[in-house]
Amino acid sequence: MSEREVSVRLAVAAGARTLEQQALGREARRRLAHAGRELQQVLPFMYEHSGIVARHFEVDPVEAEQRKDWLQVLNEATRSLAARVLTDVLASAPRPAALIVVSSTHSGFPGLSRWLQHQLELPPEMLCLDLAGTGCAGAPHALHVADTLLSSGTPSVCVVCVDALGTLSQVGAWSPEQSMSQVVAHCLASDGAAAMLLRAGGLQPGDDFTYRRAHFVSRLWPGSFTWNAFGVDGENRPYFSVGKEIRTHLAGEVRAVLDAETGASPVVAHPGGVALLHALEDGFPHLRPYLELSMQELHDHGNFGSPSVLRVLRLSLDRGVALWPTFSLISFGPGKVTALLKYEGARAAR
Amino acid sequence: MSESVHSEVRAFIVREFLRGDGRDLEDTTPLLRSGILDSLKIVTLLAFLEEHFHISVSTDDVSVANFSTIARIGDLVRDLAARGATRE
Repeated sequence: MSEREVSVRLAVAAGARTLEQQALGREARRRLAHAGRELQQVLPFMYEHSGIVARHFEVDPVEAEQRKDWLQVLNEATRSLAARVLTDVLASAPRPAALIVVSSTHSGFPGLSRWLQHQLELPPEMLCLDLAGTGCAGAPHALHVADTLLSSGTPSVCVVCVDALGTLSQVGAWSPEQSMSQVVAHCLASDGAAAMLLRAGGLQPGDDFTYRRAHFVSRLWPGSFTWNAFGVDGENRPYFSVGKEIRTHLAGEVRAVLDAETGASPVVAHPGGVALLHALEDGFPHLRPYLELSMQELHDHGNFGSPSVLRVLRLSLDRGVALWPTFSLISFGPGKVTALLKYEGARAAR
Repeated sequence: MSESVHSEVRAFIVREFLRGDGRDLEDTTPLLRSGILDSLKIVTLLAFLEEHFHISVSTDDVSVANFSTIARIGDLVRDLAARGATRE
């Protein structure tokens, strides 16, 4: 019996409006003019230290700030991005048998998978799942579910990761109650999406790579919920506040997963921030060539949330980086959680 | 003044951010790249600089370049003092 093969096609999308980080920093100073001197004093430094040149927004940030119906704004942004990237990945491909939509937060996603099914006239029998609140670790989780579905006989699965974290930062970032670390998180965020179509069988025209086996592992960092705040404000707007203890624990926690799973094979890492990537570089020098791609993605576009790790994979594929035959995707989610998906027996389409 | 400023800044960083262990910390150690300083710690450091050296650090002076090393922070303090940027 021949070993199974899964073909993979990947598309990415960024928010329609690109704004320079310097200009966004100036705008943040204006909007936070009411904040305390400490925040005012350090705000330009935060934007400069982010290492980001430009960020992307699906909704005009000024419009997003002015509108009171912030949940509608987020929903519009996510629907628009998700429809665009899904249309792209399904171009000249058979309709998928299952659709999984992933988001970092709980906001803006009421039945988004079913809405996409309706909007794109996908088969009514299609299995639809919404995997929300998984933070930036959503992609490996969803790809694991997709692989499990494929293993149990589903012929094809499409995973869509979509977040409007940039727009969320515009509708939620300007309250005087926010903490310094929330402002830091907001100054990294972009709107974007990624879609991966996985089909049982060999390569088809338009596919990017194939793999034979996938293995998933996730690990909650012990004690991490006491360092980080992942919650909602009084209007049910999600917020993130990431503690600085992350850096202290990062190498050990990541090593606990990487050493057991990847050996010396390539790792495509979520571009969560300059400090996170530097800590990974210091802890795992052999990954520097791959982490440079994450740094490039962060520098050019900011942090998109759940789609980001797939955007780095897209960049790796476009540059012809040799990921074969074994490579992993690694991302981090609320808690803190490390999520790693390893593909084995992988080969490039070209 | 420069050496004194450097050593006082160094002592503060070792005490507040390195739990008293400054064995590997030089005046040229990249503070941001190494994670010794970040946006939140800069706030703590700024309060110390303004209080201890009786200077006022403007928003324009809080840059990645000026806080990249102890040497650069020392240069900034010296420059602000020379410019008469004192606290009100």
